[in-house]
Amino acid sequence: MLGIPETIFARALCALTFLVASLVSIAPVSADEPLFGYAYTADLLPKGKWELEQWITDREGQAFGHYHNFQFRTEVEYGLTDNFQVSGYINYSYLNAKNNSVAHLTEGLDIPFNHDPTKQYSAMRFDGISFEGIYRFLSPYKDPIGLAFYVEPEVGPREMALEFRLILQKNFLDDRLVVAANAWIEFEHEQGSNLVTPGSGDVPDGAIEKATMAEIDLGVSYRFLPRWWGGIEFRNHNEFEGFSLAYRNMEHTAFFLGPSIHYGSEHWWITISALRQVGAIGVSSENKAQMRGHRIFGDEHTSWDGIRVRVGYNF
Amino acid sequence: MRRRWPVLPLLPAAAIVVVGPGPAHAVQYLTVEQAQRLCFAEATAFEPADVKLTREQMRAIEKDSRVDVREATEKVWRVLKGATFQGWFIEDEVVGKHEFITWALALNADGSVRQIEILDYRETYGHEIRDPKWREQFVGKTHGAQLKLDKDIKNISGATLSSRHITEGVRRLLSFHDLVLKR
Repeated sequence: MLGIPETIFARALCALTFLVASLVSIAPVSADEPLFGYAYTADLLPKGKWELEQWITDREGQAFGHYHNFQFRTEVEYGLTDNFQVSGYINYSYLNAKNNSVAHLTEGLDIPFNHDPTKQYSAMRFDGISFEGIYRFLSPYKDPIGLAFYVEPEVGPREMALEFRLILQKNFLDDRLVVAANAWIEFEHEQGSNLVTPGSGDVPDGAIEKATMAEIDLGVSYRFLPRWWGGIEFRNHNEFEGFSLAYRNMEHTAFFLGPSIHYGSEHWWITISALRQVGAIGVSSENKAQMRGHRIFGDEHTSWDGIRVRVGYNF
Repeated sequence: MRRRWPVLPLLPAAAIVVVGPGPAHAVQYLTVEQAQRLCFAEATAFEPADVKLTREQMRAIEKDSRVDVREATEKVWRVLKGATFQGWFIEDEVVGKHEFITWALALNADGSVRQIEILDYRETYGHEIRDPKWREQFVGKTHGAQLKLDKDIKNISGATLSSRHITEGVRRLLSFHDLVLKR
């Protein structure tokens, strides 16, 4: 199984909790804050400042049954300069599913092919580590528009990926209305699909596949009260076979929309967003087979993709 | 059907939320009275002279200063030493990263900036806006001065939003003085 023993996870997480609680209780706090769950802004940590951040994303619901894929990221950020921020992540997840697929079976995204598809699946897993660098060329507070560039390499037992992201931010109404737009592309070496025909005796060959993801993220948020921001986010996610953006290699496109809310104080902040898959188009035959209604599932997406909570502490 | 929920992975986030609020960092540095005394030590009287701006005046100030006017009422005091007019004291608020920053502008009788003081500041970074050297940049500025970050006013690292809004606040109040107070 790809998962790792839960006892190791329990010990590691208890240690992490102790570390977080210790840091939070001794440090003064707060700063670069995400107003959105998915879209990035050009707001960075000042030089010499640190941030500890915990991400929790529930990718919930597939075609039938129940499906919760909780993805966790524990992140430490540091401002190398006022315009250059670096960070490191540990990525891990917990999956609980039963009869989730379009075939009413327990199968698909992150479920091992040899799991009995008639039974519930539940496991924790270490997904990998990633690093991130963001360089800001233009400040949204001093220039007509904020502009930043982001790169994130990720290494894990199942995939290696390299993501590039362009971040635009425009502020209005005395900086109380923020509009953010991101365009990103990610090149992946990932393990092939686990989807096989139950009872067929087929075994995934474990081959590593190349894939390209391209996405547009948009967000608008307004500070409706001191410390409180409310907004809306939109994502258009596209996947391609191989390292290509050619239409002939396109596998699917999917659209997500939902609200986001952010609370920020001097000490800590929290951001919650809930994005619903509002539509998708399966282009490849494999992806078309994973459509139910106007949404795509299988190895690709969930109904709520996702419900994301980010909590941060600056020191 | 019994579902298992991932309680353990939620612990790091719970630790931040539960312990995070911690001791408050909101600071009231000065009361209005203390700020008035700091700005005009020689004054014998601060006469309240609040101004309710008309819609036309608000538009005129916005056009002149290129800064939005959020509040129609300006809290103003005429400053006297005996019978001699010394200048104006104005209490104001600008948008901070999380909350409003309460600050005060003292103007000489000729309308030039005499002093600025920060009364309340509730942000994590940027407490340097209280630094006398940063605030001294505004002294002597008059209506028509550029008052722009990274031009004639230095930015504060990590508090660009706060320092820009204070800078724009000075520009807005100098327009308010020029278009309303001195007439």
